[in-house]
Amino acid sequence: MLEQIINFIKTTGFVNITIQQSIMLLISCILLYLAIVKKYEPLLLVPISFGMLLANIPLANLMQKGGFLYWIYQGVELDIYPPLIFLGVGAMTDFGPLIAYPKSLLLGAAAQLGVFTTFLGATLLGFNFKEAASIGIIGGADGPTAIFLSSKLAPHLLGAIAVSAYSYMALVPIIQPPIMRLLTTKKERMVTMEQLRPVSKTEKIIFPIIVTILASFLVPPATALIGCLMLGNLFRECGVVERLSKTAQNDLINIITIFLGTTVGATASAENFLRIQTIEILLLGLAAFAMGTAGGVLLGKLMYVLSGGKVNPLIGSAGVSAVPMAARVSQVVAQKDKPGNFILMHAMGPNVAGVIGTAIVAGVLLSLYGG
Amino acid sequence: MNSIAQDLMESLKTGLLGMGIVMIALYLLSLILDLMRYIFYPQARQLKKNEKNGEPVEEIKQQEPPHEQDNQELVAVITAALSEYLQKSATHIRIGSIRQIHKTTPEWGRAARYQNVYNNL
Repeated sequence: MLEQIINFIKTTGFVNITIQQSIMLLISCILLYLAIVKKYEPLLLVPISFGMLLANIPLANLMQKGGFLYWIYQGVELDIYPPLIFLGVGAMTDFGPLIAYPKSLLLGAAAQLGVFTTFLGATLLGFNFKEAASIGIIGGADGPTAIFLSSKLAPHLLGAIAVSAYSYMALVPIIQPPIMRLLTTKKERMVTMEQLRPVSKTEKIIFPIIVTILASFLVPPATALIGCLMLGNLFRECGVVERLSKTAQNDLINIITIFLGTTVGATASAENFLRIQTIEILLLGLAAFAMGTAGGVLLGKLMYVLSGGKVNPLIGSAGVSAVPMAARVSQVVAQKDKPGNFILMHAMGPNVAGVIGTAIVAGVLLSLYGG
Repeated sequence: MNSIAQDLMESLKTGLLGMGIVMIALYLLSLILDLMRYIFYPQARQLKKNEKNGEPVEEIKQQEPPHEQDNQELVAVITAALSEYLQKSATHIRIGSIRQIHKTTPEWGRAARYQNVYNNL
């Protein structure tokens, strides 16, 4: 009897837990606290941090072949979930502000500066090109794209990259405003922009088809992301498949978010996560966000000059994706200097352009280093 | 040292190529969207033509309602309504001016006004 009890105790997690696993359990609890109490991107950080907790339960082996999460994780490894998330994102996104003000596409492109400066920084810190590309894409502030690229180029860094990307996306209201104020004058921040023109239904229907053809021809590896984003948007705008549109933007995206978040979190096992590289990735991710914001604002300043003071440079910072948080930050910063100034819809243009820009950048990096 | 220089060069090349491709792609897209504006939004063509000819752009003139000076009854009604809406005593509300808000105000313009009211700006 005593021997049986001893044997049973030997099979429990209490006697088999390592110090590293204890630290990981503590980290996952801290992340859960941030997600639930501080509301840092809770829709993703709750499943990610709980997945992290599950992956570090001793002897559970949920992520080993045959384990419960292993099979669900195949959707990440085979690059199925991120495009499906994009399908839902597309169904939820109104590209009207972008169609009404096409120059905002350039702001979405400029904000990709963060990706490439971080790529450079990561290379100098000793990461190989594939790892550096995966870390750099954090600067795109687009979780599904970061996961899509990392799972192909550096799956061992996936957990750290996902945690970094989603944590900083939640911290956009803290990271961006000081950079925006530093790079702009009060006069620039007070610019009231012209009202956007109305966009016809036909334009909204043609837009996703044109973007899919143009972007996919240019960077074929980005076709899955861009194609799903635009298919979701076509569901929304064409007006004849309302059921599909509703499913994509509600049930489907919620189910995929649970699968994606939990399994990406579960890749953060102690041996993968508790490394000096994770701290480097967190620091590089912060730099990526800062540089992306700066790139967008600086091009915004150039557009302010070229347009004779008609463009508020604050809309440039929204080019880092993080929809719609980054656009809201532009609005809040603008209203601090001029209450009643409403640039939210103008900032939504670069914001959604940033999503397309990041997907194209991911395609470029896959073309260069995916082989 | 040589390896670091090589890595640096490769990173710079990737950066230039990547930024170049994304800039060109999105610029091309913006040109297509501009073209779409001319096709599907004929007012844009008219505005451009007027600008070229040096003609002033015709502005939509909205009829101002007759000035309601000294309309104490209207002031009293609006003060009472605001008092109820903001849950504040009427003695704490001062009406500076009364202006009709046109229905053409876009949704976000109205949202800004509501936000200002809620923040007591």
